[in-house]
Amino acid sequence: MELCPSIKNILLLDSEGKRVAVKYYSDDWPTNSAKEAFERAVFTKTQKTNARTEAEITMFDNYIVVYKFVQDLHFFVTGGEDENEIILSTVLQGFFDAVGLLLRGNEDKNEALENLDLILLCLDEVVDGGVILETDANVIAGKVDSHNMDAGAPLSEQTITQALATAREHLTRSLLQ
Amino acid sequence: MAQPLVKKDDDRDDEVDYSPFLGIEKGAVLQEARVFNDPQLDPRRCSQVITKLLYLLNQGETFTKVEATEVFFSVTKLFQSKDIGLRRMVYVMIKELSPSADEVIIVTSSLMKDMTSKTDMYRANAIRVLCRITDGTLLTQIERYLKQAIVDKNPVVASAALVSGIHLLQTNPEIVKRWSNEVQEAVQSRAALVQFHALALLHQIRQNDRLAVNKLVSSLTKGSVRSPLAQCLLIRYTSQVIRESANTQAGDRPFYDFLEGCLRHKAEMVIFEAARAITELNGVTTRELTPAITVLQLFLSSSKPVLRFAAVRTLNKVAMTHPMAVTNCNIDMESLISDQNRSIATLAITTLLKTGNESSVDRLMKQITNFMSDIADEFKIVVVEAIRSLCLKFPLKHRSLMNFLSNILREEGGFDYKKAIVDSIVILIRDIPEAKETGLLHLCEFIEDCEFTYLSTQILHFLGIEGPKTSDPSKYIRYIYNRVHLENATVRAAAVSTLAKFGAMVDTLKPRIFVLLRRCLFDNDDEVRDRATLYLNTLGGDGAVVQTGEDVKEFLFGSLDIPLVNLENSLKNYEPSEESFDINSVPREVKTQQLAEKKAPGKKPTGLGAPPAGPPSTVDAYEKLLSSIPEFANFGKLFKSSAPVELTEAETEYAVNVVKHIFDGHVVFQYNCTNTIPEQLLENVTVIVDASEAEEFAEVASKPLRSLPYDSPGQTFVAFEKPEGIPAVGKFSNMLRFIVKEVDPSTGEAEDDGVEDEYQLEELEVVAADYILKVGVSNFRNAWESMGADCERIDEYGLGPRESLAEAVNAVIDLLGMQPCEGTEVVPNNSRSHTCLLSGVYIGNVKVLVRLQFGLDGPKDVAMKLAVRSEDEAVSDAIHEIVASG
Repeated sequence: MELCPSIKNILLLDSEGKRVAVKYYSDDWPTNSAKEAFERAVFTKTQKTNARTEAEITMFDNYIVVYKFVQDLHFFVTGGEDENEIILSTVLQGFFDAVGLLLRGNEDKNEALENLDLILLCLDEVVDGGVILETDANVIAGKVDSHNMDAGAPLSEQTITQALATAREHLTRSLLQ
Repeated sequence: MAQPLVKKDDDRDDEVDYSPFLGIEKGAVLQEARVFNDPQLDPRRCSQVITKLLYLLNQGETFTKVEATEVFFSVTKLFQSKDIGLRRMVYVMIKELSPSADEVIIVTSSLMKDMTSKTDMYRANAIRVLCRITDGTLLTQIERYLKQAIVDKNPVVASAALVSGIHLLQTNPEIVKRWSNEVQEAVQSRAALVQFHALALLHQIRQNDRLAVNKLVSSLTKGSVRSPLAQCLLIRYTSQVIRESANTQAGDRPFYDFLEGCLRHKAEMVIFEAARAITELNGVTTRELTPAITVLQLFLSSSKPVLRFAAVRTLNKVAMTHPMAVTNCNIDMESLISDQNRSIATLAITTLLKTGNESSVDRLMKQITNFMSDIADEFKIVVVEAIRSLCLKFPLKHRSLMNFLSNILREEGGFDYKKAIVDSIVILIRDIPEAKETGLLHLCEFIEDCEFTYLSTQILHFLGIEGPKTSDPSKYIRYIYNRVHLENATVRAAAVSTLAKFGAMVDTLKPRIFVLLRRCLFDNDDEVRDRATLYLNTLGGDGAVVQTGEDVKEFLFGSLDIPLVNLENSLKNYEPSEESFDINSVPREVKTQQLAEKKAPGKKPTGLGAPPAGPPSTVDAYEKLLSSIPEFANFGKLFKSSAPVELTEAETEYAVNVVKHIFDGHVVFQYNCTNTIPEQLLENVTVIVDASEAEEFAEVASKPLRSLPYDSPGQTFVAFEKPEGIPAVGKFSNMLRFIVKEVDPSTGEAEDDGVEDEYQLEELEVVAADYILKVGVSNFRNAWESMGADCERIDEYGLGPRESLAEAVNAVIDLLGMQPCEGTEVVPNNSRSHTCLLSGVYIGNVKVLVRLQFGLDGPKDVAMKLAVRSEDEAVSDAIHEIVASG
C-alpha cells in the first residue's frame, strides 16, 4: 500500500467537460489523449449527479474520484483505489473553497478563465508532485493572493497606491472585455 | 446574401460563453512573449502572457524544443522585476517547462538568491522550483540552505523544503538521508502540515530500518501528533509495524490500543483511517473488529456521500471474511440501496448479499430487481457475481435466484454483463443438480435471441455435454435446430456438433438427429456441411440404429490433450505429402514444462543487485549441463529439476541457492554460488553435505568449483545414490567450504596465500513433491473419466485450523507439487467450500490426477477429501502417503 497519501490528479472542467485547468501528478496517463480520455470518462460518469451541496464520490478503473460542482465549474480530485476517501475529499474541499475565495464568490467558468493565473497558482499551492501541500482553503488562498490579498477590502482601508492599482486593474479588465 | 450573414451575427450574440482565450493561437502568443525582453518590463502584461502560455500547455498544446528554449530564456529575464505576482507566475512557468540541465544553470543563481531572500513566499517557492529542476551536483551546493529551510520558522518554507525532500529522496537518497536530524526536529513542529510532511519524509528515510520505524512509531503513538494527516500517516506506519511483528508475538496485539484510541479522534479522516486499519489486521478477532464496525456504522448514515461510500466500501471488504461482524449494519445498509449515489447502492447490495441469511434472500431479491434497471453494466456485473456466490451458499434458494438471473438475462445489456450472467448460470447448473433442468432451459431461451456469437457457441457446447444427461433430452433439440436455421455460420456449426452429441448419447433420438443432420448437408457454409458429413459418418447415419461405440464418444466428447501451441507448430511444420498428418507425433509435455520452469525464476528472491544468473533454467539446459559432467553422465534421463531454493539470506557475503535434479536412481544437487565481496576470491569451493537425516541417500560424487571470483556466479555439484524408482525423502545440512584469497581492489590481483574457511548454509530437503512433474491436462473431467476408478483411492483428512481456505488449498498444492487445472487453484473470496483439480506425472512416468474437496468445518478448521486416480495403485497410495505425512 502507498504509505503517503498521494493525489493522482486535480481537474477543473466546465459544464461541457472541457478543461479550465488540470494538473496531473502521476504517470498513469502518459499522453494528452490519455488524459483527455480520462477527463471524458470522469465527466460523463459524474455529469448527471448532483454534487452541489456535498462532495460526491465514485470509483472506476481502480481510481477513486471525489467531485463537487458549482455553477458551470466541475471540480475533481483523483486518488488510487486504496486511498483514504476522506483525505481526498479534504483536498477537494480545500481547493474548491480556495477557488471560491479567490473568485470572490463569483464561481463560474468566465470568472475562472478571467483569473486563470490565480487558479493555476492555487493548484500549485494545493499539491506538489502528488504530495498534499495544504488543505486549508484560507491558507491556500492567502498564499496565492498574498500580494493583493486585501484588494477586496473597503476602499477606505486601502492605501492610495493600492486603491489606484485596484482601479487600474478594474479598468484593464473592462477594456479587455 | 445578406441573410446568412445576419444569422451568423445572431449566433455570435447567443454565445454568452465569452472566453478571454477565445481564438488564442500558439504562434501569436509566442510572439507576444517578446515583451519579456523589453527593457521596461510591464509586470501585468508579462503575467498575462505567461497565463496564456500556461493556458496553452494546460489545454494539451506542446512546444517544440526550440520554442520551449526560447520561452525559457525570455522568462528568466523576468527575474529582474520585483513584482511578486509576476514572480509567482515565473516560478510556475519554469516548473512547467522542465528545462534541461544546461538551461537550469541559467536560473540557478536567481533561484538561489530567492532561496535566501527575506520574503517567505520567495524562499518557499524558490526551494520547490529549484528542487524540481535540479540534479545531484547542484543539490550539494544548496544542501545547506535546504537544511536550514526544514527548520525555518515559517511553516510554508519548512513544508516546501520537506516536500522537496520527499521528491528528492527518489533520485538522491544519500543526500536527503543526511537531513535526518533537521527532519526529526520538524516532526515536533507546531504547524500541522509541517508535522505531516516531516513525518512522511522521516519515515521514507528510515523505511528500510525496521527497528528505527518501530522506535518512531512507539514514541509518536504516545501522543504528540497534532495534524490529522500526520495522524493518518502514523496509523499506516503502525499497521505496518503490526503486520511485520505479527509472526513473532502471540497474545495481545501491540499498538491495538493506539488504533482503537484513534477511533475517538475528532477528525473524520483519522477515525476512518483507524477503522480501516483495524479491519485489515491479519487474523483480526471479532472483539477487535467491533469498535471499528461501530464507527463505520455511524458513517453509513452520514449526510456526506464520501463518508457513506468509504464506510460501505470498507464494510464490503470485511463482509468477505467476517460476514457475521457486519450483520449489525444490515438495517443501515438496506436503506442505502436507494442511495442517490449508485456506487454506494451497489456496494450496499453486494455487502447485503454476502451477509444476508437464507430467510432474507427473497426480500433482498425484490429490492434488487427494482434497482437493477437504473445502474450501469459494470455495477450489474458486480451484483451478478454476488448473487452467484449467494446461490452457492444457499442452494435451496436456487429457484428464486435462477429466476432473477434469467430475468436480467432477457433485459438489455452489453457483452460482459451477459457473459457474467451466462457464466453464473453455468456454474450453478454444474454445482447444484436440482437447478440443472431449469437452468438449461433458461439458456436455451436466451440463445433464441442472442446477439453474441461467442455466447451462443459456448452455450451450445455446454448443452451438448449436459443436455443428453437430463430426463428428457428431446425438448432441447428444437432450440438447437432453430440455430441451424437462423444464425450465422459459426453458430450453425456449433449447433451441428451439439446435435451430434445428442445423437451419440441418446439412442432413441438417433433417427431424428440423422434427419436433421442430413438437412445440414445442404448448408451454404462448408464448415457446417463438413461437420454434418463427419458426424453422420461417425455415428453411422446410414439408417441403421446402432449402439454408439466408445471410440465415437471419445471422439465427440474427448478433449484434445495436446497443448494447442504444440499442435500449431507441428501443423506449420507439416508438409503436404503422401503421409497424412499424425496427431500422435505432436509433442505433449514440452511446453507446459517450460511454462512451469519459467515461473520459477520469478519467485526467486533477488537479494543482490545482480541475481545469481546461473545457467539457463529450462530442463533442456539443465540436461545438457548435467550430461556434460562425466561423473553424472550415466545417471540416465533427468526426470525433474526443482526451482532454485535459496540457502542463504538476502544480502549475505555469499549467496547460494540449490537446484535439485531428480534421476531414477540418483539425485544431484546443483549449488549456484555467488561471491558478493569484491575483496575476496574463493577457490576450491565445495559443499559438504551431511546426509545423516536422509538414510536412503548415499553420496557418490562431488564436483568442486575451482574458482569463484567476485560477482560471477559458479556451480558446484554433489550427487547421491538412492533406491531406484522410490520417492525417497530426507533432510540435508550443508556447509560451504572454500579457500579465501584477499584481492587488492585497485589491481584486481589476488594474493598467493589463502585461508581455508567454512560458511554455514541452510538445510535442504528432498520432498515428495520433487518426484512429481507438473503436467496439466486441458479437460480434467474427461481425463478423470477416462482414467477410471480402478486405481482410485479416496480418503478424508482434517487439516486443522487454517488462516483461510485459500491458504489451505495452496498448502496442499505446494505439498503435492502438481499442476492445478482449470484455474481451480483460485479460491473465490468468501467461499466455505472449494474443489481443486490437480494433475501431474509421478516418477516412473505414471500419470496422476487428484481431486481435492475442501470444506470449512467450524470457524477455522479445514477438512479435505482427497481422491486420487492414477495408472498404478501404488502411486495412488503414495500420493495419500504424502498428504498423510505432510
